[in-house]
Amino acid sequence: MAQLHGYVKDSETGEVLIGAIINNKTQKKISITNNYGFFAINSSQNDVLDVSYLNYEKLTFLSQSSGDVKIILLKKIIITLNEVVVQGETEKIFDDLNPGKIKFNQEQIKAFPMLLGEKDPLKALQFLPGIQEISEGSASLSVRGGDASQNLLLLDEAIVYNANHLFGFFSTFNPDPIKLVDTYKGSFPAQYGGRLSSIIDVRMREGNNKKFNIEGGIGLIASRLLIEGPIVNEKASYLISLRRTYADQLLMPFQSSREKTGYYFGDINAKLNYSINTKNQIFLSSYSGKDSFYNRNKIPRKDGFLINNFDLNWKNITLSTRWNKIYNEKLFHNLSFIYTKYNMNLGEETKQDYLIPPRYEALKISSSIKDFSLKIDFDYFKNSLINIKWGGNLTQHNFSPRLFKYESSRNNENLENNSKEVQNYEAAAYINMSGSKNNFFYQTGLRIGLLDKPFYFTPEPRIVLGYKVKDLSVLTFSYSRMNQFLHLISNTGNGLPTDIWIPSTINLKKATSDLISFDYTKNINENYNITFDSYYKWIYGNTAYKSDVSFFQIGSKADLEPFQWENSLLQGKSWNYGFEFLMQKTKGRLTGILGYTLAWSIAKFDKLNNGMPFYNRHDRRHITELSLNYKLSKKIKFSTNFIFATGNALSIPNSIFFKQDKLNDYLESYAGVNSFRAENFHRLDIGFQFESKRKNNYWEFSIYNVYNRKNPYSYSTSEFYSQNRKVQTVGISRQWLIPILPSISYNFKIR
Amino acid sequence: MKNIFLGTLFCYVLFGCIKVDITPRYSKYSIYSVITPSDSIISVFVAKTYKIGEGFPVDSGKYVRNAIVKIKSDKEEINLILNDKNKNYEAKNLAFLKFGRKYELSVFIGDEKFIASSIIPEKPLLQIDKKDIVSNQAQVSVSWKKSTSNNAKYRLFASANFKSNSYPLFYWDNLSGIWKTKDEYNGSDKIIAPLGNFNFIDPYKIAYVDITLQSLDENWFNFQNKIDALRTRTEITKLFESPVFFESNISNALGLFGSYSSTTIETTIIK
Repeated sequence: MAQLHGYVKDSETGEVLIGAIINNKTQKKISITNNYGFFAINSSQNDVLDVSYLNYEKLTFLSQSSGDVKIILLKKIIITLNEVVVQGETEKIFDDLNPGKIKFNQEQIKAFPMLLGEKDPLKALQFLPGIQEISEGSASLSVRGGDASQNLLLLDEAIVYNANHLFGFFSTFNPDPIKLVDTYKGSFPAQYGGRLSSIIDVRMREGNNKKFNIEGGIGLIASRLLIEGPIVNEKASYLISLRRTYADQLLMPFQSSREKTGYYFGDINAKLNYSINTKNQIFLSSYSGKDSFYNRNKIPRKDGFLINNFDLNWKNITLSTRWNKIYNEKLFHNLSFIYTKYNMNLGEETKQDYLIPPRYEALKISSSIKDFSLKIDFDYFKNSLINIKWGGNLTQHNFSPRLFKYESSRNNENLENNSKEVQNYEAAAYINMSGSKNNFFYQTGLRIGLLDKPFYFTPEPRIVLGYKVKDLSVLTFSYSRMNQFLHLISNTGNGLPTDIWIPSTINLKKATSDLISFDYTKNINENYNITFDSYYKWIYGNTAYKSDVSFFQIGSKADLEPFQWENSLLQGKSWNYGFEFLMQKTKGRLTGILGYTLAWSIAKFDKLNNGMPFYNRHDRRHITELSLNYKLSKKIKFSTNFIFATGNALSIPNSIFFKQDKLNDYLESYAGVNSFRAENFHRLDIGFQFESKRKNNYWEFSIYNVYNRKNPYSYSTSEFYSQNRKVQTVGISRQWLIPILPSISYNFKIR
Repeated sequence: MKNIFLGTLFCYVLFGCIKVDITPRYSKYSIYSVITPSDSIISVFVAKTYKIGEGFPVDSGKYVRNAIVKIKSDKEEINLILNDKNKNYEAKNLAFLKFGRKYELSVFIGDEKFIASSIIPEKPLLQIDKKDIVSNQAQVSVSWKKSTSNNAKYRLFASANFKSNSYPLFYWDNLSGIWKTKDEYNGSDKIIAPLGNFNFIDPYKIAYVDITLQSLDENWFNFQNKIDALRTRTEITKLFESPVFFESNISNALGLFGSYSSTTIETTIIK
């Protein structure tokens, strides 16, 4: 029997379509395009096949067994304004055959109203059960009880180590160049590994290889511009996307010449691709993002200036080169070389040139992680019962947890005291098989992880077993083991630039998770579908910051000692379990999702809380999310998000005690680790999109936190005095962060 | 089949539940005492604790007036009497505190009894291996040896005089400050003291350096480290810091009963 193979692409842009369904109706066989848009399916001469993809016209054709690579072009449905109101179909976000997988395309991400109108894929994920933001406004995620460091964030296969802009309020993922975000919170395929809790695989668009296109947006805090077009028609294309905030530039004229303070972040995404021939294609994609905060003082003195400059910046750079090759009608490979780097720099310098002799003092602290990776993946489409993926990767990690330099003219000091730099090699090999027969389907795999220093050999079995019930419902069981060879030292988990990646060592062991889940999905009718998941996740070797260690000793004299990062963490275990419910409405004027999570997240460390279990900080018992999109008219769309979550667990003192009978010489005492429950969190956001006269251009007006809920951000102790100041009280005060925030933006496309 | 499946979902989570004790723990009293053989007075501070939101006197009056406080070692026992001036329970140390001995503290308040114990570490053995003034810095290398007390931890202290001017700043192997924590039983360290750029006095030729090595019992060592961690925090940074948990070694009360011993060497470095 012959095998039909090839790519499914957008007829207008030439972009490959990931997840398109190829259905051999004659033989009742199905194939789905892989992450590179490739497929292979058994077919005989004159078999009837159809190819479908959401919002694209279904293509039906008769199979011709030529043996050549077939390029199937699907035409996007051109929806007239009147039809928009009626159709309004959105893609189902979860996968029946893998309920742990969530899929968002660019249009879905852009449908959510967001803080200050800045669309963000990581924030869109927070409206799904099992995934929550670490703290309000943060793009850092906790997935099924795991912390932010346990999420693998990939951008065109390159790891993004710190996906946060503006201290975590925005992510590094500008939605314009993004094609698709695949998120796994369970049922992990064997090709993914290296983190315990989730995989967030972000794929960039290739760039239109047929015609030149510009799109962008102008917002309150940032503007975006994307340019794409063909280099060689239908063979090579490019894409460049830029985003930058401009608060620093707008505030510049209002600042005095003595003091200037500013902050900005910016991103550049770029991609090139070239089809050498029908069987070979190469890609080059890159991301560079930077945040910069600065404060510059130049104060005149009698004979000169007192100059003080403070700078904090952090940068991500990724570079992925890929080569896709079709060997034959069944075998496909992808070879990637990947470079990624994250670094943070903090510096302060003071110059006093009016003194004799002039004085100078400078402090510089930096930390970085840099990886070089080689990765190969093979897809073998044997038949509908067996689809095999296998491959491997080798990564050289270079950790510089903290470099420190201090210079001073006062004592002719020039101190350099750097923490230990570490280089290690991480490798993995995997095989993954999937297929179906009758009503049963499976996905099973094995991943072997290797680390050279310290030596680890870690087999990771993965399995998904499913059964399709006649009434359009699916039952699934899955088990995954994951290992993580690196840890994040983070005081807050909020994605601050001061968070430091460090490797496993002999004293600091790797972390491991075991996840089992039972899932039930049902397509109620063509409009509604539901999924009901339950999971239990064990984590061993998870980390917590020792309470008497701090990265914030920046600038203190104690900082001159090499940072003992290995000794700053404790390791313990964690239990995470719960139920998740998700209902999605995919068709009609009203579309949206409703999610509910009932979850527990518990940790135990020998040297914390007297060795007794305690709730993790992101433990929230109930979380409900509702996200709706409603087409009010042919030109106006309305969207809203509502989230309600019970309070998380925090460590707040319950009493104070004194060491001596003196004023304020008291210490705080806690009932236990995270024994305090914060107040409930709830928030409503709304957004309106008004299409302008120019096609594809629209205004967006949104309001974040509509009813100005003062959601708890943190709690701290404060001192109060009686009127006669003879009696003092230590109380708890709540800090809140984001009030009601309206925003407006204009989005355009020029074709 | 569907019902069996759904039943299984609930069962495996329910049977896997982990019990977390969230009973509010609250101690009414706190006791604080650190003893060392070189002290002339042994003192213990006994106070009421205050719940969050509960008022307490600003200046004085937080101590407990009617406590009975005793410290015992083998067959020797002393009673401590409240000193109205500093509000501590006190007794003279007439060779009662000795290196390497275990001491038990008992505090009675009404019907309640609070006890704790501590072994005073052996006196640490400290020696100077090398001393010099290099370019603009005084440098002293020291080392110490294991004491008989296995649980002892160490902290180094220093003070210095350069000619007639006293400067508290001291650098310990590039660590600026007045102390340095060590937990090696056999250790060594180098003190580096910049002599400064004070041109208005003669260039330094003589440095007088005092070096103290403390050997602390583990409870006191951990407590001190946490105090040090708090010291570096500001109102802003503490919002982003992990909380500091003080663990008490006193039954049913907050606070600490700890001990230490110390050795001091005074030395002179001539350029």
